[in-house]
Amino acid sequence: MIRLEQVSKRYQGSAFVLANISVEIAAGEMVFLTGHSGAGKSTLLKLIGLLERPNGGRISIGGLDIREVKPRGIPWLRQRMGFVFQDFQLLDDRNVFENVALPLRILGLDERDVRRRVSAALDAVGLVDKGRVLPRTLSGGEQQRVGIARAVVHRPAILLADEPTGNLDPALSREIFELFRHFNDLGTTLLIASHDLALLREMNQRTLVLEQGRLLHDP
Amino acid sequence: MTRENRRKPRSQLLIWRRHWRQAWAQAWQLLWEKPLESVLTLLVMALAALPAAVLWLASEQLQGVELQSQGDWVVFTRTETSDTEARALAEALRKEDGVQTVTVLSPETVLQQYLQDTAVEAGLQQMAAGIFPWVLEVRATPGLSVEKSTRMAVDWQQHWPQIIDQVDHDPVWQALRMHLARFLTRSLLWVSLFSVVILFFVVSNTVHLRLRRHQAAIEVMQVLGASNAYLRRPYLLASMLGGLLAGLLTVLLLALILLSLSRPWHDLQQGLGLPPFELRLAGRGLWLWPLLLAGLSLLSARISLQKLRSS
Repeated sequence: MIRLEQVSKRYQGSAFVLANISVEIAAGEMVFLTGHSGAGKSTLLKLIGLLERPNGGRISIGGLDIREVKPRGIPWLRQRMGFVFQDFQLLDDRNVFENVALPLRILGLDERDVRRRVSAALDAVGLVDKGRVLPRTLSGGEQQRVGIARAVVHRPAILLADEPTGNLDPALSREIFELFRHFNDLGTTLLIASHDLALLREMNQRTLVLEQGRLLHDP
Repeated sequence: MTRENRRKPRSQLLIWRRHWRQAWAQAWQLLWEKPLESVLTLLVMALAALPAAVLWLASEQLQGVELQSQGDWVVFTRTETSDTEARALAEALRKEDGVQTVTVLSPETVLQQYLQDTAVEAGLQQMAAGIFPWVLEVRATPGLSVEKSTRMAVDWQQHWPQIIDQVDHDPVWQALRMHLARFLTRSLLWVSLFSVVILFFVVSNTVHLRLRRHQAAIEVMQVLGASNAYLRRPYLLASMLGGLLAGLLTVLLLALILLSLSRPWHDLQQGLGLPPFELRLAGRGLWLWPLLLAGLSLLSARISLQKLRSS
C-alpha cells in the first residue's frame, strides 16, 4: 500500500530531516510512528500525504510512484487519504456537521449522500447529536473526534494522524486510539505519529522508531 | 483506492455542477460576510468606472447621434425638382466616395419641420406648401477631411446645376466636431486605462483580504484534496458579482448625475446658443457596462489568485 525507498528530505539551509528511510506498510495495517520532537515523524507523514516532496528516494502509494504524479493529480490522491491533526484544524465558522461534510463536498457528493455519511461518521465517533454546534463549544476530546469523523467520512484507504492525542489527557487519548482501531478493523490503513509510549505499548501494534531523521527500529 | 468510490463511479458532470452550486453559495457568503466593506468596495469600483462611463456615453451620443443628425452637407433642390429627380440625386450621392448615408426629406416633411420650428399658423400651411424644396441630409464617412468635403460640396453644385439649388456645408463646424471626436476618443482611452488600473488594484486588494481571512480554511481544504479550481472558484465568482453590482451602481450614479445636470445644461445651451443636445441614459455601450466591469473584475481576480495553489 505505502512503500518508501531510501527517502530523504531536507529543507533549504538545514540538515537532513529524514535520511534514507525505507519502509513498507501493507494495506489494512495499523502502524505507529514514534520518536522525540524533531525526529522527523511529521515530515514523514507530510511526504506520504503529498504535503511535501522528498529530495531523494521513491515513495509509492497503492503502486503509484508519487514522482510521476503531476500537480493536478495531487488533490485527487489527497482525496483518497484522511488526515488527523494534533490541533484538530476544524473550521470555526462552520458547525460540526459542515466540518465533517467538507471532504464529501470536495468530492462532489449529492446532499442526500452527504447527510447520510456525515451522520454515520458522527455516530461512529459518538457525536451524532452535536452536528449543529460550533466546534469551539466542544471539549478537546470531542473536537478531536470531530477531526477523526472528518478524516474517515469519505472512507479513505489511508488515514494519517499526526500526534492526534497530543492535546488530550490519557483517558481521552485511549478513547481516540480505540476509535482508530475501530476504523482499522473496517480495513483502513493507519499511520499514526505519537510519542505516547505507554499508550503505544498498550496498543501492541507495529511501531517505527525515528531518531534524528533515521529509522532506528522497524520490527 | 477508496473502496466505495470504486464501486460507485459518479458522473463528472454532476460533480462539476455541485461544485458550481457550492461556489455560488460561497461567493454570496464572501460578499455578505463583511457588508460594509463590500458596499464601500463596490462604491470605489463604481466611482473608478464613472468617468469612463460618462465619456463613453458622451462620445457615443455626441459623435453618433445628435450632432450628425443634420448631416455634414444639407443639399437643397430647386423647388421645381420632381420626386424622381430628387431620389435619383440621392442615389447618385450615395455612390460618392466619402458619403456614408443620405436621408431624403420631401417638401411636406420640410414644411412640417418648418411649422414646428416657427409656429406658422395653420392657415398659412397650404400657401407655404408650394415653396419648399426637397432636402437631402448627407452624412460623411468618419475621418473625411474638411478640404475634401468642401470640394465635394462645390463639385455637386457644378455637376447638378439643374437640380441643386444650394449645398449648406459648414467646414468650421465639421472640423470642430472632428477635433471633439478625436479628443473624446483619446480621453476615453486614457480615462479607461486609469479606471482599469484602479479596478485591478481594488479587486486584487479585496481578493487578498478575503484570502487572508480564510487562509486557515483554505489550508485545511487543500489538505483534504480541494483542487486549485475548487479553491479559486468562489473568489472568482464573488469578484465577478462585485463587478456586476459595481457596474449597475455606475449606471445608477450616471442616471442621478444626468438628472441633476439636465436643467442647468439646458439653460446653458440656450444661453450660449449651442445646437440642441441632451445626454440621455441610452446607448449600446452603457448597458454593457455592468458586464464589462464583471469581466474586468473576473480577470483581475484570476490574476490575483495565481498564487493560490493546492500543490
